[in-house]
Amino acid sequence: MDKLKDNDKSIIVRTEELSKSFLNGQSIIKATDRINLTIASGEFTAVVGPSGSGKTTLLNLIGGLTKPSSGKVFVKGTDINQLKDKELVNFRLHNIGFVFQLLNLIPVLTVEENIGFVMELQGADKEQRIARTAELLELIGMKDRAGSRPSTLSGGQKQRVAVARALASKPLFILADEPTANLDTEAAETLLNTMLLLNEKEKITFLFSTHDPRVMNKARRLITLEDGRITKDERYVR
Amino acid sequence: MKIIYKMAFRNIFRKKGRSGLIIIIIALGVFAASFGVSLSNGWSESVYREHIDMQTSQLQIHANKFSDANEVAEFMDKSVVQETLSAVDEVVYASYRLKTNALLSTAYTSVGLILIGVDRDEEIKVSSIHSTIGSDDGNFFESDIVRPIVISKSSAERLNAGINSKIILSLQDSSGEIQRTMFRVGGLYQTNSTRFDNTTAFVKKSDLIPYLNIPEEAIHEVAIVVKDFRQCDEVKHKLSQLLPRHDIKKWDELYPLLHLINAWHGIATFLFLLLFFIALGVSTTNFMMMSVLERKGEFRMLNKVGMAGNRIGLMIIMETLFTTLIAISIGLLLCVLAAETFSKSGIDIKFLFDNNSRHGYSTVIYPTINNRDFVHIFVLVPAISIIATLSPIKKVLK
Ligand SMILES: Nc1ncnc2c1ncn2[C@@H]1O[C@H](COP(=O)(O)OP(=O)(O)O)[C@@H](O)[C@H]1O
Ligand SMILES: [Mg+2]
Repeated sequence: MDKLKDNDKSIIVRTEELSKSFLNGQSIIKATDRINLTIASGEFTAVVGPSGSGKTTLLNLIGGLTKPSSGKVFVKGTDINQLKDKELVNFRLHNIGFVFQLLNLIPVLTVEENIGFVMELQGADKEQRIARTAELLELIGMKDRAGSRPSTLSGGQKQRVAVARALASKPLFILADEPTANLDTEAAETLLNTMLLLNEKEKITFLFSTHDPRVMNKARRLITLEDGRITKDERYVR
Repeated sequence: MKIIYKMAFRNIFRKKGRSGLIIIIIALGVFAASFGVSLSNGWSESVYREHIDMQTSQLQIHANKFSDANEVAEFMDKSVVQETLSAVDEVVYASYRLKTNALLSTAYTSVGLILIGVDRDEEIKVSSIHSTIGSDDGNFFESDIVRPIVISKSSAERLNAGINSKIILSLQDSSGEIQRTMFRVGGLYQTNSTRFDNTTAFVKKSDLIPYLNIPEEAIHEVAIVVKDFRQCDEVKHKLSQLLPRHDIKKWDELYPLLHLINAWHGIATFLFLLLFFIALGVSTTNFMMMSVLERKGEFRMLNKVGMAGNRIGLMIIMETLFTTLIAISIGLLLCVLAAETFSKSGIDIKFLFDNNSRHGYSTVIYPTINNRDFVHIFVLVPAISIIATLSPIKKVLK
């Protein structure tokens, strides 16, 4: 599997000996250690592992939010760390959708405007934006909250809006770092079901991290990290 | 990019208390600055008006050799000047005067001063001295007293004279002979300038000419009012060419102190506004620093999802700009309202001064809004706020 080349059209992400070290006082922590990984289009992959195993670091490296200490990240064949800062922001804007654990939404914008926000940054025209926003509101089941401010939403609703926002820009894939960490079981389940639905219906590629067993059970591929190394990479047909 | 402006605008109302506070602070600052400048404008304008009105008029013509010594023999021919002035459209009024030094005596004492011989009808059009004569203090050559003289109240006090008092006037005619005549006080004027009041008295031209031994048509001084105050320089230039053997002076040459007041007023206004702008810049920086740093996480998120640093910067700048524009509008509106309120009655600043002395200006100030100062505030305050926002932006984008 890892031997797939970028000329395989389905490969979206490929990492090469990807390492990131942090200095912690006197000692060096290898948050990720020579990781080789490929993500293909349409995957629904969870990165799992105990706290401190390097999940966040890995996702940040792949999303171009952190610079690696060594190794490379290719997104659709582009070595993202060769890009200048400005180009990288722009690359993220057009290719990667993000869902964070907290603080996803812009408080002063409505649900609808939050979803349209990235599209507006991309310069999408108004009709297109309105149509896409309506479609996504429908998909996440929040049509009736289009005009609400984020502060009036529950945690689960906020995360669904964040997913819709990430999707709106039609990215190659979506990175979600512990998207359910602050949700109760039911909300977590709803969010995962929404993501699955999008994966199946819209062929959206998801790469998310979690340490919640119920969330892991929904994944089609489980990558297990321990001390910054991949210890298991399993696929499931569900 | 409408979304950036939308966000910037809504961010203002996010922390209503704090935004409200900074808006009030800037608005009050703008109000204080603009109203302060309006008062100072009003004051300096009143100083000008008063001096020009009562003392110098806008332009004066003298014979070339006529000097501060008021030489009786250095006269001009009225008809020559009159003919020239009638050819200059901008000249609307002119008063043809005689001017000489004189000694005024009563049984009590004598004072020396400058005597101005006027034609009432001409004089009241170029000077407001006549309007300072109170109702119990006689008038400006309107009664049928024989040989009336109008002196200031302070001169009257010194001479121990009142309305109708006899005053002996002594002066030198053009040949150096001393002439003496009796006049009667016909009016008591009072300007805001003690200096002027102590040194000036008025008589009718026709009452004065017989004692000067100069031709009937002779005059010493022409005081001129032009159509538009701003034309003074232009008219002066024209007249200098038309009357090369005469001396044409503008108000600021006639009373150089006015020039100084003008310059000083400009400097003071500038310093005042500068101070205000610095204070404004510092408080804006602090305010934006606070407001921006506490949203650091939010800006980071925006950057992660693809909002470039320059767009975030633009958004923060817009936020400052909107805040300041709201504040400036309120501040300037307050200023306009206040200026409007006091435009009729004025503000009496007498309490600032020693009661009895007069300094050459009225203690009542009529605030005067100067569009140029308003434009300065409207352009500079936002510009300064934007500059003041740069360091918070830099800090948050790091
Ligand atoms: N910015 C950082 N500075 C120092 N150490 C860090 C930093 N980010 C992560 N680490 C360390 O790297 C290791 C992996 O962290 P992280 O990727 O956050 O793990 P996870 O998301 O699986 O909990 C941890 O030991 C953590 O302490
Ligand atoms: Mg983590």
